[in-house]
Amino acid sequence: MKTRILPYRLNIFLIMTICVLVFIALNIGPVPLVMSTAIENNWRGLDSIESLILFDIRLPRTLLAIIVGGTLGMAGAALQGLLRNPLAGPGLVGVSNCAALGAVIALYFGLQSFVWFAIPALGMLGAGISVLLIFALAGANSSITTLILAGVAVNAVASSLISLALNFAPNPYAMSEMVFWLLGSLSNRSMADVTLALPFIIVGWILILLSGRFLDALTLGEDTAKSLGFNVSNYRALLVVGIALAVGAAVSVSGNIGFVGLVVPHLLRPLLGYQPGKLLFSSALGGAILVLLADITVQLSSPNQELKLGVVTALVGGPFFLFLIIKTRNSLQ
Amino acid sequence: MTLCAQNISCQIAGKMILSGCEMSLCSGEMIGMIGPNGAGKSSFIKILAGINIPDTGKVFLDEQPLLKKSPKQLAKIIAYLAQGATTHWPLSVRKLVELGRLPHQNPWGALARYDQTIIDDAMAQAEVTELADRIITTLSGGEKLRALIARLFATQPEIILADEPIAALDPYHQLHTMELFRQHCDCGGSAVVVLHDLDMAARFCDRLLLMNEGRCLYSDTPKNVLTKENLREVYHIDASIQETPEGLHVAPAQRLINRP
Repeated sequence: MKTRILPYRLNIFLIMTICVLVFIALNIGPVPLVMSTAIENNWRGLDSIESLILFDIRLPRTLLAIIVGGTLGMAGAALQGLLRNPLAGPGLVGVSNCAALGAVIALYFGLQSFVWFAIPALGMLGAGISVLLIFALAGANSSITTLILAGVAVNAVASSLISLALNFAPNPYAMSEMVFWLLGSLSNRSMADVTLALPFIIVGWILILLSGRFLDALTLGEDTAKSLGFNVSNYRALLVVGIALAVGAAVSVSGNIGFVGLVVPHLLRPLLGYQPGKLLFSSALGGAILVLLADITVQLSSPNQELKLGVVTALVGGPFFLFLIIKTRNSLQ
Repeated sequence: MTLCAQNISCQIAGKMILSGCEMSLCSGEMIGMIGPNGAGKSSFIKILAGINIPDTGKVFLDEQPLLKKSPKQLAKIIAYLAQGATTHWPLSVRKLVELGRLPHQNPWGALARYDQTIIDDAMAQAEVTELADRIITTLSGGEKLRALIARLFATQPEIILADEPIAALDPYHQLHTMELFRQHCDCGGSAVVVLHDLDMAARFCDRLLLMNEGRCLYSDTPKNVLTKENLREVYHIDASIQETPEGLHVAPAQRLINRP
């Protein structure tokens, strides 16, 4: 295939793109900013408006774009590899919606005014519960179909509870807060959000990346993967827990950002010769690029922060995905 | 190395799939596993490969219980070719053959030059070198199977367990595939091959294992297993069996309507 390129070259190209986007993201905003002044002030230990804007507003936002995008991209690639189905996405195992439910509960009771980390903490709690539920429903040694059906069921329950919370919202303000949070955004996040979510996300990434070879072997089916020395049920559990940890923590700080995990692996897969293991890291980079791009678009198109990031990814991702399906429908059975 | 199964029994959803199955395989030996549909051949070979665990009975590898070995160690010794030979992503043939090196690799390490040489050899052996850059899902059945056999050889296993490898192939590719397995056994390896083609089984295998309804009924030389009486009993067919210069030839004549 002519379009195949060496994975490390693709990764270098993606990383360079991320660097450029990070530079752009740090330079845009309602206030014009000279970066060198901000860095210099911070270096000298001076508190200035410039360093405050750069390090407390723009940097966390940019970092979160990379972390959240990377997580969604990698989780999408991992799930598609695990299910051997290019239409799977991180939302499928029900983790995103459970994380969202946790955050919505925090907003419903206004917990964030008592403890600042109420939203991400409850979000991660929700994600954790969803994993336990899925495993309890499906059993540890069950087939992947049961696992997914359990995920779909958990997803449905979480959605209905979110609707319930919206229905009985104590006041219009809480309701609009919940709705806006659900739309997904990276604005007004602090470094504390990053440090809260990052440990879980990193553990999740490691668990997912450890399964790269297993996903490669799974190309030949579960029995053959077993005969190649992989304990299929262990690796499956490893992957589901890794995805849940990373996606749960990411969604807890950002809200729902759709289509990234679905579209990014799709785009990169042909470039990597369809190797599911190699796709994991590249998809993380691709996801980071997509979310950075979307967030830059959000900031440029509506500086007063009316447009939500999740809306942009869905607006672009939905039709794009449709286009992909039409283009590849002959190869899909 | 010897692979030896003792008194294997296995139930799935209350139905007895295997009961009291025995088998032993020595180095250099090629065993053909034959029997009608639903006889338990696939279940038995998966247990031999350590993929499924039997309810009772044990499989031994050189007198050591099979499951004492770690999955990685086992994967270096026993290679398994699944029925139907499905591949889920359109990998290139070379990438597919590289998967055979997985038992020898750590989670993140790249393939060493040593591995690349082994992959080249495996591809040459299965005659898929020219197909290296082709996409596996675009290949014909015979080409695809050869790529998967190259994947088996890339693992450098001692024991090959293949589930109906030649079922979908034309005579040329059937011969080629059987020759590849025979070659492996003549070089000191061993193989168990599930077959429906009795002629091929008789011609290439040292021994045949005739299974029926979850039991291993006969295990002997092709000539002693493929008898009119056995074919009647197990397959419920009347067949004429002829000695030809190429080997035994089984020509099914008619079904026995009144099953015993």
